[in-house]
Amino acid sequence: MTQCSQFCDEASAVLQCIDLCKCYGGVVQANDHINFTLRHGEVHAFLGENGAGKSTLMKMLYGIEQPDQGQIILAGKPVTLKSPADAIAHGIGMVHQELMLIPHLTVSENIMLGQEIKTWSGRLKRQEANRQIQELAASFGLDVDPEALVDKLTIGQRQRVEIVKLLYRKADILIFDEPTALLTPQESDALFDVLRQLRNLGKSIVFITHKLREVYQIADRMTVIRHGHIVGTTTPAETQMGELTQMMVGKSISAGRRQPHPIGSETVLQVENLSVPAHGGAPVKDVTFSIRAGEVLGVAGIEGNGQTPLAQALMGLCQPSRGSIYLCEKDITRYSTKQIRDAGMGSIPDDRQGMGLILGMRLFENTLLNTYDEKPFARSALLEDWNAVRQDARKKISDYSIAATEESVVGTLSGGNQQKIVVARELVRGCRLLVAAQPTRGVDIASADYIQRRILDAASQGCAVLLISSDLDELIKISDRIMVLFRGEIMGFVDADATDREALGRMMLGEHV
Amino acid sequence: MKKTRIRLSLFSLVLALVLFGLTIRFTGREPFGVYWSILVGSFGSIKSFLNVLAYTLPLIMTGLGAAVAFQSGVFNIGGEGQVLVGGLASVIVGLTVPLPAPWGYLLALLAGFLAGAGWAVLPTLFAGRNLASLSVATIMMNSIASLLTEYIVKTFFQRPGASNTETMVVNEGSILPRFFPSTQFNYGIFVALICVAAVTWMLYKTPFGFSLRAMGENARAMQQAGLPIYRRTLVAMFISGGLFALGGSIQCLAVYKRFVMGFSPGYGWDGITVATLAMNSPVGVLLSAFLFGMLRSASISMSLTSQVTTEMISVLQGLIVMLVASPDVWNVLDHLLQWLKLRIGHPGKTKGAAE
Repeated sequence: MTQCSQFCDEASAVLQCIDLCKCYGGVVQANDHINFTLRHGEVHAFLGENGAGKSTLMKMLYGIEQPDQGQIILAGKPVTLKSPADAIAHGIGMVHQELMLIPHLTVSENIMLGQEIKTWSGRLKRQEANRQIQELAASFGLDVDPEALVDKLTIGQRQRVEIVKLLYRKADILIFDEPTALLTPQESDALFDVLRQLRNLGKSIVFITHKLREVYQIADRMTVIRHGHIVGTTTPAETQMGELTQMMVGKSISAGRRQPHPIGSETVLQVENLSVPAHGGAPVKDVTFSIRAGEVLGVAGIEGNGQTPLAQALMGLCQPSRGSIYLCEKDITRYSTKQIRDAGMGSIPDDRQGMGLILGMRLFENTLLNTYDEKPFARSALLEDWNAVRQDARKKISDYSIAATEESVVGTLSGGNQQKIVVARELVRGCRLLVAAQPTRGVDIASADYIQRRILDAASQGCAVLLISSDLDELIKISDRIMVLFRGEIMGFVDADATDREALGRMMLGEHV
Repeated sequence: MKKTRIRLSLFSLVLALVLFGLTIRFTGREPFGVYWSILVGSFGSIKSFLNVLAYTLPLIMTGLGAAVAFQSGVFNIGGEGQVLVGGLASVIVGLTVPLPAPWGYLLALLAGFLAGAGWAVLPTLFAGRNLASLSVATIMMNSIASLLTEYIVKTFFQRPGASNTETMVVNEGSILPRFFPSTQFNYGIFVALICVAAVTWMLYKTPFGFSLRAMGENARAMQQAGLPIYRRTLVAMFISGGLFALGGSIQCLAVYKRFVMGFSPGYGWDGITVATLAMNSPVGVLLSAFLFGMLRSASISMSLTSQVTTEMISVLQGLIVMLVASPDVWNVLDHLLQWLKLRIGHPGKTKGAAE
């Protein structure tokens, strides 16, 4: 690893940050003396855990936030970026994780928005615009249909529209904020081809991610950020993946698959011909599967392919239109959520902040959501024993090494600590089946690893687990079998030990196995 | 966090008074004279103080009703209708069931509670599981209540020879006694204090109360934790409606001793304001209801002494709600106040008037 000096390569530098600092609320040092150089025509990966300070830095580069001190130097000249419009005027563009497109407008309308090609009387020159946009896109090897409605495009195509939008605004520096979060492996590869093409044509690219694999696929150089500090800048050739992880996390994390453990013979969950309607996204269509005691069944699939209605139907939050669900041979299809929980199902919802926790309440209250009316917490219908609750919360805090006190307001905690509260609450009840949806999304690596181990611990004690995740690495790491969903249908089951990512990717795009 | 919220309420109050003062100034009157007359009108004599307390009573009840609903995340804005229905139900029982005190007025209060509770549950049933339309349903029930009570009184209980739409005086045993005949201050204070204590206990000490508060903070989280949201909403509405109704019952049984059409100058609406100012805390309701009682009583003395119309008091109430309900306004003013603090050192005399 070479600690790259900030001043060695001024000739090729298009963007430099010198001693950038940003504090939130006067206490949290989100960025602490950041020094960083982006060279002309490179793909520069920015690596860091959630909360490491990547987004803060990018917000400053894109003019959303202003640095407390330090300078941003563009092409040798110091600049102040007061707003995104300012940043765009200086040739800096950003592709956000959630794409900023208007679904009911066409591709060319979205691209022009704010910089329309008009006649003197203010009418749109639609033909002219379409032609210009197509030419622009073609010159970068991008294929877009200017007349298509954004609504009808896939996520990968929409991302391309975003890129053209930035090129249209003459951006030379493109910032990508976790662009592969919602893409399949194939779509990611296609995106990387586009990035290489852009680089070869002289654009400079900042690529934010926390997925190491991608960094080795695409980056020319990479900078690791941790707790608001730059840990170092290096190149893929110089640094091994393990070393890089250590730089990110500050300690080494065991990678690799779980230890095999015996799977019981008893079928805990049996789902037969289940169909569930959905509001937005695909409905579940006629799925049949079962999970045995101690088994972890992974559910792979691009988001919106039926995972959410499946989990909700299992938890009794929405009614299936057909089929039945058996938990330990009991028909629970028509049970209420309360009855399902009493029958031994626990659930980690995918929307942690919206469904998993009550952000405005304190930690000890959040550990109580599913047990508030049970002994020993409810001494009687007229008296909640808050001391017992607090005591139990303290136990969970130490059992799950949550960095908080029982009085902490949950909304102020980090994603990792929040998720640990959910896991602690759902697992402690000694459940027979755990439905875990995206249990480690938006969680720092150390907490994610910890949560995965707790889920596996539960499995080795005989709990069946349905693990819904959009993170293939996670699925392969901790599942026994993986079931792939596409448009609400099961594409097939694969053995997690013997699977390859390519095959999974093809199934996620609708290929039967 | 709680501390800053209390501070927010207090500062909003001070600010509202300042803005109120400016408004009065612009209409060509002397603001400090008005503040003074508010104080004199409330604390000038024991009698006026007791009258303030009497004005406070119905507001405590409606404030509690709103606080329970809002803490449960249920937007019950049908309070005015529940007040009317509760008042009428109490009076009907007071007219038809001859019982000695205290049984007479206890039974009448119970009837009022149940009627208001039922009146609140009804729109919840209409709205069904689509809880988004609940606030619309409750608000519609206000007009229905107003017309329905008028119809019932006119058809069945109209006092012969009266020019108003009003009933006969209720049975002796059903009159909620006053402490002194010369003021309106009455036994309703016991009802109010018991209800404040009971609601506080319910919300903060019982498992049921926890489920209500948790539902109010995040219904989806509680739903996925296994709480039957719809049934809890019905119960929350029942309690809230009953508390609102008791405001009407106390007023009818103690002050008017009968049902008079238009007896409520908007207690149900004021209850929402009272609860908002109190940040939905039951004990806070006690204080903010007192403040609003003070304003109501002052509006009468003000119109006599300062030649300021009673509507000006509504301006002040409106300012208070606006400032409490919009914390963003406050954020801007926070900076302004910091700056003022540095410049002046103390915020001025108006603060004394508020406290």
